[in-house]
Formats: sequence, C-alpha cells, structure tokens
Amino acid sequence: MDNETNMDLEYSDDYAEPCPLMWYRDHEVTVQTYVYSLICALGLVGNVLVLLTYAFYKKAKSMTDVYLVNVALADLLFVVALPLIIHNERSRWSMGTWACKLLRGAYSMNVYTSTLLLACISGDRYIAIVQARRSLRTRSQAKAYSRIICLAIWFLAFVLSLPTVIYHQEKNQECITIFSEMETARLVKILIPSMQMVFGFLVPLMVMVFCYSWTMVTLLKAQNFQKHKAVRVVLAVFFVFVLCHLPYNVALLVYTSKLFVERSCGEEQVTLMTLSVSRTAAYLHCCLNPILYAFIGVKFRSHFCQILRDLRCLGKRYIYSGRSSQQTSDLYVSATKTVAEQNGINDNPSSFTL
Amino acid sequence: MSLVSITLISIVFLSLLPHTPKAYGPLNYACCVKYTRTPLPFGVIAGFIEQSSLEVCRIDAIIFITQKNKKICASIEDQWVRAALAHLRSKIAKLENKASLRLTTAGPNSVIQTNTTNSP
Repeated sequence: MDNETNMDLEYSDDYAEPCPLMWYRDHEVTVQTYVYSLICALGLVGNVLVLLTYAFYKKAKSMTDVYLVNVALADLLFVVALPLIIHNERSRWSMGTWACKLLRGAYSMNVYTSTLLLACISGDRYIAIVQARRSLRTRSQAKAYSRIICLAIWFLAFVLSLPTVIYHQEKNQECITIFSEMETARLVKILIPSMQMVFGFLVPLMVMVFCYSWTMVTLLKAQNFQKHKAVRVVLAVFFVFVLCHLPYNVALLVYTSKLFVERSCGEEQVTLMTLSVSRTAAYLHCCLNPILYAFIGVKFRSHFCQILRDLRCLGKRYIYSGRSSQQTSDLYVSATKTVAEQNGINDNPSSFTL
Repeated sequence: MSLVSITLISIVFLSLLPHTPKAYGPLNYACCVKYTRTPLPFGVIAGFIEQSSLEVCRIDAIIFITQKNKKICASIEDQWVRAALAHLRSKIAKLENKASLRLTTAGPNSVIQTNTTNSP
C-alpha cells in the first residue's frame, strides 16, 4: 500500500501556477465596443465616399489618385471584416475555421497594403516636389507605373499574409494558431510578427522619413507665406501614422523577443493587454486615412460636396464654413505651383499632389 | 511509454477523482509562463496535464494537479519533474492492476477522451 500522506502543503510564491491570459477582457470589452463601433462607422463612411467620388465624379489622374483608391479599398475590406472579428471575439468563435482564416487574413492584408501604399504616396509627393524638373517626362507614364506598383503591393501583401491564413484554425471555439511540428511552430510564431513589423511598419516608415524629410526641406526653401501650413500638413500625416502604428509594433517587438522564455504572470498580462490596446489604436488608422489624404484636397472636396448636393443634403454650408481648413488644403496646390514656378515648370498639379 | 500515453492514462486517472477541477472557459486561456523550481512533495500530486507550445501557449510545460486542485507549472527538463512523473506512472500501473483483476476490462477504456492542451 502506498504510504503517501495528505500533508497540508502551504503554497508559496515558489510554485508557479498557470497565468490567466485574458484577465483584462471584462474591463476592456465595453470600451473596445465603443471604439470599434466608431472605427467601423467612420471607416465605412469615409472609404465608401472616397470610392464613390473616384467612381462617379473624378477619374484618377495621378499616381497618388491610384494609390488612394487602393488604400480606400484595403481599409474598406478590413472595416467590413471588423464587426465579424469583434462578434466572434466577444462571444465564442462560432463561424468555424474558414472564417477564422479569412478574417485574420483580412487584417493582415490591410496592414501591409495600407501602410505600403501610404509609403508610395509619400514617394509620389517626393517626386512631384523635390524632383519636379526631372519628373516631368515620366509623369505621363506615371499612372501605368502606379497600377503595376499597386498590383505588386497587393500580391506582396497576399504572400506575406499566407502564414497567418494557413496556421489559424478554430478550436474549442477560439481562433488560434495551431501547428503540428515544434520547429514549424517556433519558426512561424517568430516569422509572422517579424514580417508584420518589417513590411507593415519599418519599411513604410523609412520610406516616409526619407521622402517627407526632403519634401519639407524643399517646401521650406519656397518663398511662400503659406509654406509653414504645408509643412504642418506633411507633419500631421507622418505623425498620425507613427502614433497609430508605433505603439503596437513596439509591443509586438517586446512580445516576440521574449516568446520562448520564462517571465512572471504579471509581466505576461501587461504585455498582452498592451498588445490589445495598441492594436485598437492601429485599427484607428483605417478611418483616419480618408480624412488625412483624400478630403484634404480642394478638388476632391468639391466633388464630395457635389455628392452631398446630389443626395439633396445640406452639408454644403458645413463644408465651406471652415476657412482655416480651406486655407490648409489650398496649400497643396499653391505649394506645388510655387515650386514648379521656381523650377520654370508650368505643370498642372493634381489636387492631391504637393 | 510516451508522454502522450502518460497523458491519456493520466486523464483516466483524473476522471476517477471525486472532484474535477474548475474549468476555464475557452475565452479564458491560462498558460504556464514560468516554471516551478522548488520540487513538489510526491504525496500532494494527483495528476498532470501537458502544455504544448504548438498552440496558444508560448512554452512547453507539465502542469501538476494537486489533491487540493491547485495547478503547478513545471518543466520536463527538471529532474524532480521526471521523478514525479515516474512516481505517477507507478501509481497508474497499480491502478491498472486493480482494474484488470475485475472482470469488466472495458471500464477504463470507456472514459478515455481526446487530449487538449487547455487547462481543464
């Protein structure tokens, strides 16, 4: 007979217990619901209006126009998927494995496509402003190039999203990554966040830093009383990008760098909560893109106003009452003209190109 | 005997306990994030579950379940953990011997269920 005794063992901190990973969920879910609803509503309205304007009122005339259409498509794809993601995460995941794959893939595609296209927009502005003289010849062929670039970006986003789609499955009504081999698990668990950090943030960030820095230098040299406002618009675009995406990518870097090592339960919980909150901030960029890029353009807003008139809406007064925003958005066109004049070029600028 | 077999038999053993541990819901994953270095007395260990890094959790672990339904995280690489598992194995072997003495040999097999890495 086994002589094991039922000793009254006092558990001390020396004994590690399983750590509840989602302890914050009850506190967070209410706030998240309101924020996500706002993101869905603004993102849906903003991006649909951008697409409507291009479809019925304005043909894409420049590289930036083509990029903006694709950004709106990418953001719309994600904004449509977001309610389904929220629903399945709040209750049990009830839509099965394929919905799990597609919805996770939709977010992944949006991150890559949106950020890389925003980098292309900064590149286009760099060419238009800083390389104004040299870019004159190539601008007639620019639209064809931009379509090829957009296709390449969508394809790259698809390839980079494949691991996310392949390894996500539904199990016990949770949408999680599941692997069959230990080596594969280790490799992919590092690869997915690493690719997202590099191609979804660092590469676009470096392109933006380079292009917008030179753009601002050129603008500051221009003898124009509105140059500071143009610089502020460029800075706003850049810093909103950084504010939305930097916290999440830093949290992701911290999490990934300690993926297979021990850490305390409290540290684990704080890391996961930080990831969750900063991801929400990253989602915000989907509904800010139409405001930052599309509605700043003068001609675009006149077309937008045309939509409102066609819908028999009284928004016209609201659109034109903001004099300061009118001045701000005029800066893009006047800044381009100023630089073009200094370079002896009478290029007719797009309303979205600096 | 492989760890999978030990796990399966351990589940048999656990299912015979009078009180099953309180279950975490599927929305509330609980994972070991560090290991216990202080050896547990064998007498308080009632069973174990294997945690795998092939799914949600980041690291592999052995989760010992005590007679008071506490879960203790441990690493298979530690010597005391392997000794504890060997101790459980001998207890399971005795249990099998008792079961085989009865004529209802199908009893233990009927309660075998699929393995899951979620904490029960």
